[in-house]
Formats: sequence, C-alpha cells, structure tokens
Amino acid sequence: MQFSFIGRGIATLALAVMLLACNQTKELVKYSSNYQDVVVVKGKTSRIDAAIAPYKKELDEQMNEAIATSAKELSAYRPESELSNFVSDLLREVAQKYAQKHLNNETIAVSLANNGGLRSSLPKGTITVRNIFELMPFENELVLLQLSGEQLKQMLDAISRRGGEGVSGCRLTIKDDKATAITVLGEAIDNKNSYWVATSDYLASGGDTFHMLAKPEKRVNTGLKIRDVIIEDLKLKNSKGIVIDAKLDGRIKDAK
Amino acid sequence: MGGLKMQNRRTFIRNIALGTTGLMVAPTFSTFAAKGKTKLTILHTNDMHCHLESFTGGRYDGKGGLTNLCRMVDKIRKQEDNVLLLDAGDMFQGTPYFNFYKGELMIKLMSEVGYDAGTIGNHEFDNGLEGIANVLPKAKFPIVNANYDFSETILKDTFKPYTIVNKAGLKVGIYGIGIELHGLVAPTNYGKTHFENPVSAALDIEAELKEEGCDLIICLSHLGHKYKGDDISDYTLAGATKNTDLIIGGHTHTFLKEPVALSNKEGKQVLVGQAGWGALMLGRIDLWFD
Repeated sequence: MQFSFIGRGIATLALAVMLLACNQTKELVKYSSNYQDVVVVKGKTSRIDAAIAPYKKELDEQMNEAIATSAKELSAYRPESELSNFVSDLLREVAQKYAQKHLNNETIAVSLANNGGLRSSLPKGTITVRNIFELMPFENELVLLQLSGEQLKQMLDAISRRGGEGVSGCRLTIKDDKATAITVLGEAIDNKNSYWVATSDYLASGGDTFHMLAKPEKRVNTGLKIRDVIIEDLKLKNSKGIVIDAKLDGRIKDAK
Repeated sequence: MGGLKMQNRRTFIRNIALGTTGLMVAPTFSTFAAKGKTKLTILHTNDMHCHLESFTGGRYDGKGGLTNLCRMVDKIRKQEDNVLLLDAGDMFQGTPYFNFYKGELMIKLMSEVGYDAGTIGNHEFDNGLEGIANVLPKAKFPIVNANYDFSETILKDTFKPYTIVNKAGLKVGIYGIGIELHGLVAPTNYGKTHFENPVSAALDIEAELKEEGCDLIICLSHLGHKYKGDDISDYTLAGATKNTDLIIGGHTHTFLKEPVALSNKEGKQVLVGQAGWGALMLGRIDLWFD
C-alpha cells in the first residue's frame, strides 16, 4: 500500500517537472557563425555523385553537340553589341518566316531582345548546344505583337532609358533618355500605321519596364521557345556552310 | 486590402495548426535532464539555381555545387549532434539540369543531402504553377510559404505556412516568406496566386509560433537582403517583427561574411543571414540555448 503511494507520488512529481519543462521555452543566449566557401577538393567525392552521374552523362551527350562556328567571340553590352545585334537579327528573320506561314506574310518590322536575357557570351570557334543553353537558359517563347506607331515609339523610348537593348529593323539615337532620329525599316514612324514586333513572352508581359508591350493591338503566341529557335537556325546556317558573325552597325547611337 | 483573403488565410493557418499539433513529439525527459547549454547548428543555402556541380571557367572556377556542399554538410553532421539544414529558395533555373529535368533532379538531390526545410523563390515559378505542382511536392523536406495565397490555383492546400521541428529538446518554428511576383514573374506563370504583404503575414505566423511555445523562430525569406528604395527586404522584416530570431535570406545573391545582427520592433536581436548563390557558400550559425 505504502509502496504504491510513494510510487504514485514520484510519478506525479516527474509529470509535474515534465510539464513545467514543456511550458518553459529556452532562451537563445549565445551565437557564433562560420560562413565557408564551397570548393572542389581534389580526389574527394561526395555521396550524391553517383546519383548525378547518369543524368550528367545523358546531358553531356546532348550539350556537347557542335552546331555552328563563330568567326569571333560575341558579347552583349549597351547601347548596341555584336551579340544583341546577332540575336535580334536572328529573331526577326525567324519571326518573318513564321509570319509568312501563319500570319498572311505580314512584315515583322522590329525585333527586341533584352540584354538582361542574354546570360552569356558566345565563344569564337565551335559553338555547342551548351553555349546556347548558357546564353538563353530561360524557357522564353517567341511572341509577335502588333503595336500602334505611338506604342512603338514608347518601346523605343524605354530602350533608350535603359541605355539600349538588342533591336533589329530600326535605328535610333539616344538623347536625354529618349529615342530620336528614329527609322523603322528605313522610314520614320507613321502614327497612323501599326507595326509588328517580335520579342519574348517575358517582355511582352511588361517585363523589364516594357509596360507598353502588355497592351498590344494584337498578340500572337508562336509557341516556339527562343532557345530552340536559335539552335535550329544555327544548325540550318551551319548546314549551308555559313560561319556565324555579327558587327556593330550604329543601329543604336548614344548622343552624349 | 481584402479582409476576405486574410480571413481565408487565418482559417487555413488554424486548420494547419490543428493538423500539426498531433504530429508533434513531446521533448524527452533525458534532454531536459542534461546539464549545461543546448547547442543547435543551423546550416543554410539560397539561390542554388540547379548548380549540382562546381562551376567551370570564369571567376567561380572549381567552386560551388550541391555535390561539394554535401560533403561539407556530412562532415559537420558527424561533428555536431543537432544540425538543421535550410534553404531560402530559387532552387530552380540556371543550368541545363533544370531545362532537362525540370527541377526534379534538384529536389531529389536536396532530399538526399538531407535538407530539413525550404521555401519558394520566384524562379520556382519558371515552369508555371504546373512546374511547381509536378516537382515541389516530391521533396522529402517541408517547403513552407506564408504569403502566397494559392487557394484559387492548382496548388491549393499544397504548402503549409510553417513547420515545427523538434531538435535537442528545442521547438523550432520555421516559416517561409516569398517576394512580390508582379513585375518579376510572367503573370501566366503565377496565375491566380495572390501575394500577401510579407510583414503582416510574418507578424501573424510568428505570433502563432510563439503561442505554440517555440524556443526558436526562423524565417526562410526570398525577399532579398536590403534595398535602397522602399521594396520590402530582410532588413524591413527584421525591423518590423517581434518574435523572429533568425532570417535566412535569399534572392539578392548576397555573399555575407557573417549574419547581420539587427534590432527587431521590440529592440531584441534578430540575425539576418545569406550565403551567395550557386551553392558557392555554406552559411553556418551555431546557437546556444539555456
């Protein structure tokens, strides 16, 4: 009898201590930190290497395919650059082919490729699929927009405020953050006209402050990934023996 | 802003809280009997962007990559009893591994490395809501977010605002906060996801976690470290909250040498960390409790 009473007493006490402990939160009293660089250590493997290996093999086979040759390294910078000229010229050309098939052969007057979307340079010499993935990692699609003359002018002003972007089909001079001396396919913008512009779905949704592109007169989603479009076009040119090249032609000048 | 929306979230939180209470493990007696201070080691990453392997060429040649990070984490886990490995979002996008395997490989490997919790960054939306629905639920660690209202999307009921982890007899509450999607992510990619104010969401959740008796409250934030303008950052969150002890940040790819110690709304200390990107850095913060 007495034994079980004591036993019960201990159990109650233990429970009380546990409950007390549970209700009492602990205080953070001290900290220290150590931020370390992650580096390759020669000869050391990690336990996830084996899990990566089959994917790496499959990927490398596709990524290392040579698809073109470039006469020089193409890099992106502002106001115009070899790389942004190259990509925007290619986009306008491909968009025109698309329009020929699916859009009554309407003229694609201008193309726009944002410099921020060109994530890497293209090397001199052999260009692989991997180079194009590094250039264009995003799953952006080619979109065609019909803009009013006024909207097109707004787009060119936005380009000017940003110090230049990749364009094809037009020429302009940046002056006080505005586009001046504009020509589109060799002519001044006619505000009574509409113009077809080829760009990415990212910019067409108003990205990078191109708000005016989000409300076009018409919009055609081609469903073509820009990266795929570039790869296919390079392969096609390569099969014809064309070496990739691009040059500055003064399409965007900075007045300052 | 919409009282109805907020009401929905509160109801949601209440439901979640009811759901998790049953799963909580009571701290064992032996842990409390142990003398001296309790040590907890927090390891953290952010913006890994599918960098499974080290960089080749350029300024980061021979650095970074989840595989190398894994080796460091394993070593620390051997040395320390109580380790939590956390990530602050943007696991997706950045190498062909993402283009080919849609983030699924990344999530599989992060699960194998042994992440304890993660959150949703803006690049998690790169393949739309379907891209999230197809991949993130496969993670073997909880992915938490408290300020994206997915109730009108296919992600309804997919993510919890927070998780509670019991480690070393400590109750650790971990919640997630995401960045404004408008202007950053194509509208077609986030659909009817409603963005709720990060500060009010954080205040709600941290109060809830305090009520749950958490000893430590951690925010996994993809807001960005600090901005010149008015955009909400980890600095904003640190100064506006009352119960959050630690903010593990991301988005701005900030390489800190150590976590920044700031004051919260009540003058108490908050630590704000961030560890670069591309698994180029592993953040480590050791905490002692008494």
